[in-house]
Amino acid sequence: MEALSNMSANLLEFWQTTGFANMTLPNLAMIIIGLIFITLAIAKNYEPLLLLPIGFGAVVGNIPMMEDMALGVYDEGSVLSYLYFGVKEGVYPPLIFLGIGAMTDFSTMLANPKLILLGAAAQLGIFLTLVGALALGFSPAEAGAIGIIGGADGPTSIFLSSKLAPHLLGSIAVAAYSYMALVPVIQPPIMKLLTSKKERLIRMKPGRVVSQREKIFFPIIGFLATGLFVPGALPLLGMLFLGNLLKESTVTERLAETARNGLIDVVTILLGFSVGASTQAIVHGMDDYAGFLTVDSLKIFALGAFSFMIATAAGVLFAKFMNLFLKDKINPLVGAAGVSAVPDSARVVQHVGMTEDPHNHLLMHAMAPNVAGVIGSAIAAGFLWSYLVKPETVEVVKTVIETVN
Amino acid sequence: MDSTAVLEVVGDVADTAVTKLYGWEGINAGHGIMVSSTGMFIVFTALVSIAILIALLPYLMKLVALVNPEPVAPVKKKSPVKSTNDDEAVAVAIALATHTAGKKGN
Repeated sequence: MEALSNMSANLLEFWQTTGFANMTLPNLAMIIIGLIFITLAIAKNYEPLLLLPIGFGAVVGNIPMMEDMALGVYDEGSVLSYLYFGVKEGVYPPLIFLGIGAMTDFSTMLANPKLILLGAAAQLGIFLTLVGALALGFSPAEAGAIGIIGGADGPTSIFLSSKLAPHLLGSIAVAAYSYMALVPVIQPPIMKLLTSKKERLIRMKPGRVVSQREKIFFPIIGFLATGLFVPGALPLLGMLFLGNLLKESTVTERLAETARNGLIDVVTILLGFSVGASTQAIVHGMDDYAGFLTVDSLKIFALGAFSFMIATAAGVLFAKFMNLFLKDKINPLVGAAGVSAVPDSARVVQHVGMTEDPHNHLLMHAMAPNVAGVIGSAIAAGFLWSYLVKPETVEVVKTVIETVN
Repeated sequence: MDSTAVLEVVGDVADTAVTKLYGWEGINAGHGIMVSSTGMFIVFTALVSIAILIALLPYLMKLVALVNPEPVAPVKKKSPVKSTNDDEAVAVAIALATHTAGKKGN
């Protein structure tokens, strides 16, 4: 009888350690959100390479954890915290950029350099969102990290928020990737609203043939131009152009192959999963982290949607503006690809263009502002990082900490 | 830096962190318009400079080609006989040849 009572006491004690006993409503809500992500990835094929690991990570991160066990990404010494290190310290995004560089063909951009301006115009989404975030009560550093969602570039968003507002990283990353997955839903209505049927039917002349030697020179020249301009963007742009040089030089095909396949796949899994796991609704023992389900997270999601819409509209309107001066007109739909969700926004341009004229193929033209947008958002991130992290403030805080210790 | 200055700056940082400003007040306090316009200017300038460099690339390539001409890919010689995979056409040709040979024999 005593053995039975001991056993039931042990079972009761064990029950207290289980996720069932410690489940809270916020945890449950986040698990459901994670499952929605997984469903969208599998059933709707929305950015499955990202939404699936993020969704599963969110489910893992929101299983209620015991206070004295190091399990979650925020628990020092836990396995997940080591995986999260790459996100927290901004290690993964440059590695992803290396892979992106190794798989990107810049020849459409080289063939028609004026389309680069559309990639610049679309970055207005970043800076207007920054203003919006300031108006909603975020600090300048937080507003900068939120604004970069408008760059429609997941790795860049993670990189910058890890530097400027690590406590918002989970919300920013999830917002950025969610809206990137929703590019085919968000962009077409704006594109149609801002263009006439006549404009959507514009056929663009094919670009000139680009020599292999030009393709080899571009990553070196491009890096020097941007890197010297905005040193804050070095980790991202350096890796992007290195990856592209590996590809175009043709003498390092093995390295390019690894960067665009094996390496980027491994990093995408680790990044997606650990970002998902960082969306813990409740974190024990962290006073500066209020959990994922907060009013601030909702504001970030609203600002993220706003930023994608502004970026799309800015690209389209700037193309129309350029047409005032150009002899060979640009199809304004191509401007929407300045949003650097590669290659999704270029595909959206192709799709919307083909619904008007099934023989008008805009994909190759759209790839030019699309890759220019990647460079543009990295430059914007570099600027925001260098401007919003004030060295003197950091120095003072360090001095104070040292004095207190 | 003396301790008073340190405390002043830390106080400012703490104030900014604690006091949330909304609307125009928040935008002004964070120099939102200035940061945004500077940022857009920098992004445009950097990308315009890339566009200009790309536009100049063909000229640079011509200069490079003077010193080191770009290797021309060997052109494959075309076979004088046009090859075809059209089995039906081949069958028709053979049939015609056989028919003509048969007629001659008769």
